[in-house]
Amino acid sequence: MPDSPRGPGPGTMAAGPGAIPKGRWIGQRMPRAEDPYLLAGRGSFVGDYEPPGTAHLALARSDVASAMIEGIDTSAAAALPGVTAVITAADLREIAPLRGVLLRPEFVSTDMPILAAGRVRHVGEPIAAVVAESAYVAEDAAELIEVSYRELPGVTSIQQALAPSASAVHDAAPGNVLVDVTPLSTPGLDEVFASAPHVVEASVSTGRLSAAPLEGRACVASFDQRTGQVQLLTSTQVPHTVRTAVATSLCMDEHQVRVISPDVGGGFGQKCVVAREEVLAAAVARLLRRTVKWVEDRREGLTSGFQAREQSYRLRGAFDAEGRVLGLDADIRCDVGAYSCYPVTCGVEVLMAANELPGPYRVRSYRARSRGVATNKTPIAPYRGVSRPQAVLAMERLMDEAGRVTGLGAAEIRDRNLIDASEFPYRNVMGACYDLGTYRESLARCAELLGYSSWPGVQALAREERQLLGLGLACFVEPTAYGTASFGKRKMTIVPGYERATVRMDPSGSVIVMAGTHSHGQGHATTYAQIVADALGIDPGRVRLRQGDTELVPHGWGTFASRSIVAGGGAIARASADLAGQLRRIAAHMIEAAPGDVELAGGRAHVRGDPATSVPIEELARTAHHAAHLLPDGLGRGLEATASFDPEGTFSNATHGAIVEVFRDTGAVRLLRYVVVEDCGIMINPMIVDGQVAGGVTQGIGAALFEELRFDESGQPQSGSFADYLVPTAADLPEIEIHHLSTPTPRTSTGAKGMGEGGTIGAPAAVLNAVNDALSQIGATIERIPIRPGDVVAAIAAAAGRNVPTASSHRPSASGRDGSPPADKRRRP
Amino acid sequence: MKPAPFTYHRAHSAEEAMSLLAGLGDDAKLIAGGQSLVAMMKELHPDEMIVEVYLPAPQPNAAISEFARRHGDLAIVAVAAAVGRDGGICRDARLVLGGVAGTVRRASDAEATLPGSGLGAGAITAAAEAAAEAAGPPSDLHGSAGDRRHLIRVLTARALREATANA
Repeated sequence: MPDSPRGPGPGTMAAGPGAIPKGRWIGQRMPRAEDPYLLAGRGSFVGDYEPPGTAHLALARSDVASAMIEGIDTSAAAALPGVTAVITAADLREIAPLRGVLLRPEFVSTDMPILAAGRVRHVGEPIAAVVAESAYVAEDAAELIEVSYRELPGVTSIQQALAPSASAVHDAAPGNVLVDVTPLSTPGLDEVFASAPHVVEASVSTGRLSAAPLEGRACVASFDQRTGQVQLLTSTQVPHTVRTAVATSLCMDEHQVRVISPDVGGGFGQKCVVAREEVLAAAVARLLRRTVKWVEDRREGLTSGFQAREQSYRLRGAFDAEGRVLGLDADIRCDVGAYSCYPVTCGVEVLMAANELPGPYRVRSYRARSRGVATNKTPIAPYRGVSRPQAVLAMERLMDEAGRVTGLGAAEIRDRNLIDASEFPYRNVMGACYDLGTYRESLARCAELLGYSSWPGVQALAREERQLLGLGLACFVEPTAYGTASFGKRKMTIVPGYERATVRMDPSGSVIVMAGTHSHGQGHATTYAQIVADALGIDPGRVRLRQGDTELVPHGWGTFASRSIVAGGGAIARASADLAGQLRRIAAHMIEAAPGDVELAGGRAHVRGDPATSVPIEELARTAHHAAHLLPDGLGRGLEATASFDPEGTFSNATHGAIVEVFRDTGAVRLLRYVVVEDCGIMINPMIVDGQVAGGVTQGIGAALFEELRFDESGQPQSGSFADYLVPTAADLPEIEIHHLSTPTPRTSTGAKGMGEGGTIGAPAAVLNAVNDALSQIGATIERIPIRPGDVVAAIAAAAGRNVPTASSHRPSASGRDGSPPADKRRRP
Repeated sequence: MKPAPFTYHRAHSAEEAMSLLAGLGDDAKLIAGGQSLVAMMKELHPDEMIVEVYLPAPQPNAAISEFARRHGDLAIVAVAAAVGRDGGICRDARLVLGGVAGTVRRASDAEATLPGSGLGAGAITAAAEAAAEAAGPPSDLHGSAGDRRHLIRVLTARALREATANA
């Protein structure tokens, strides 16, 4: 493969809004400020809060997937000693359901009731709440609630739901299609396919997953007798969005609701939407004028918590004789479950899948139909990467097929179609404008690290030893940190995107940052401090982060969609720059210099070129607060700045590569190597970036090989514990080899791009492609994840029946980037 | 709960355990190691200690082969094999399957195919086939009955080959 042109190298100055130079702290692998308390068990999670007098809430949930509720007998539960109240939908008539809305004609709005009223649509749907003096009594009482059902026919798969005779999950959507979008249909696409030298197809489907955060969902809701305010402690990624939802459902002004989210033990998207239980806890606290606490158990989490990712793709790609993609045609279906989540709606996977499928490739003509299909299963919500892991899986399967059909091999076909560094900023077929990246370079590097050029020999040698080895590649672009302009295109009634932050220096010279983002494992207390420290010339240890309290921090959208370091970090950088200006002006006054000549570094303000003329920043802070009479009007009298940032969106990129061994007797797959070459611009803290990549890859490998929420034919969830929902452990993973390229984006003040989801996005495709490369030696193919051993055995048996082994997907072409494939490989499928 | 003191039999072979269980009927309780032992250890009271952990040494002519999705999980299918040989000829063979029923099962049909054979590839394949044929494994999340039958075939052959090599 030819060398790729290099993007701007690391160290290049970023030139974004409020640009701050790469300074002393940004870029350091600083230990996380959060770790001393989190790792020592001194964190403070919702479950740790139990004010005196707290009552405990437990839920009676639907046992059946689809039924009318004929009656709810709560008498036995209410009679149990210790039970305070039993609450059903009849007690919550004034509480509005959660209603996620997309203002587009292809979307059917549906309500998600807080407690089921009349009809249940999935197993695990909340029907009644028990409030009791202990959690044990509450659980026992919930089991005593007798619900009489009149069962209705249900649908538990996309195929069933789309069948002409299927029963409707919602009367408003008789065909069970809640979203049906064709965001683009390039005119003339059919002609492109009709005349293309190569037409390649790929189909793939993916199992239903749970984000399964270590900390499950939990709420402590209370009612302030003095002010009438409802206070909700909840394990969420989006405190302000929860406040909006609770205030809306309870018909209160937002100031009458305070949402606090303390330490959060992971969310991965499951907690970036609002759960029924959060609204319920607030409503019950107000109704009973009591503090109530609900902490889900793992079974509730795996069966009733939001799920994700059950999708299927059918792709066709038209390629020219040289392997360049001419057109892409996709049919996408997402099983969205029984309800639409608030506020992003059940369209979240559907829209993203269709909008982002072209990825890092130069696709000029495109058509995609994407549907969200309701089923009688638990509703879906975003999960790290949302539709990208599946869309990339489909695209990368297509690329492997194209590499095989054209004879170019997996690396060359990708290299010919990846957007080149010279083409940035690149506006893709969907209108997304990619900033900068190293699409081809990351591929070249990953291929090199994996020994791609010598792979056919290695593979053949292993096969002589009856070892089936495979190498898989996955290239992708990761759109991150969407601002309001991008989110607005989805046509939600609630449009997130901007972020606002306050940076305040106290009289001792320490800084408190108040941010509307909400770190739940991302280490913002560390990375934000690095940004502030560089702007103010102080030690990051002097910076503390406050977050997760709607009374305290500016209105913000929380932490999801890889947005925080760009949006939150951008607002903080701007506010810090403002505060740095205030400090410089105060220093200029005190040391009698021009403000423009004052530099902040090493904890002191000094005149540029004259380090001897300086004043400690602590002294500036003290003066600004305690001796403001010494300063002219307009200086000091507090030290604080607030700023907002509404990003354009940044685009990280990566190539993932995996080498696997497939055991043909048992169908097992063993990962031998896993390589990531990624580019997220300037890394504020490379150690945290590595952690995000490793965690993401682990979840992606889980999706590829292990994890799946299964349901039986009647819609009963089968994966209610970690014995049945298989999350990979360290023993199942190879070392994840992480390599960084660094192309600073001009769109952010630090040059950083969002990167929190990338690991998850690339792994399923890299693993499936590797498995299929191994299986290609004996003519077998897998088109579904998770790759279960039984499926591998069956695929091998089917191939043995056909007995037609095909070529490996990696046959590096003798020709270069601009050469034609050998004539005997140029054929139409 | 930690059970009160009681008398118990310590079976020295699966055969002996089976016959004891058969003799004692529905009231029989089985104490096993592994996972059940771990659960009991968690119930130890502060003034109690474990005085003996008894793990019979595997016979040299025995082998165990198992398959799980993740490292360290309970096996989806496990096969234990022991073979006795006189010279090159199989004198007796024992095969026990796990993960194929509510309890471990002797694969008697498969065992019966082996005595008198040379324990060569053909004999082992036939025994593995017989074990798979006779088993009626369940289907669950981790594998269908068909998947398990396939694993019985693969793992029986593997365990027999290893046991034969050790014998």
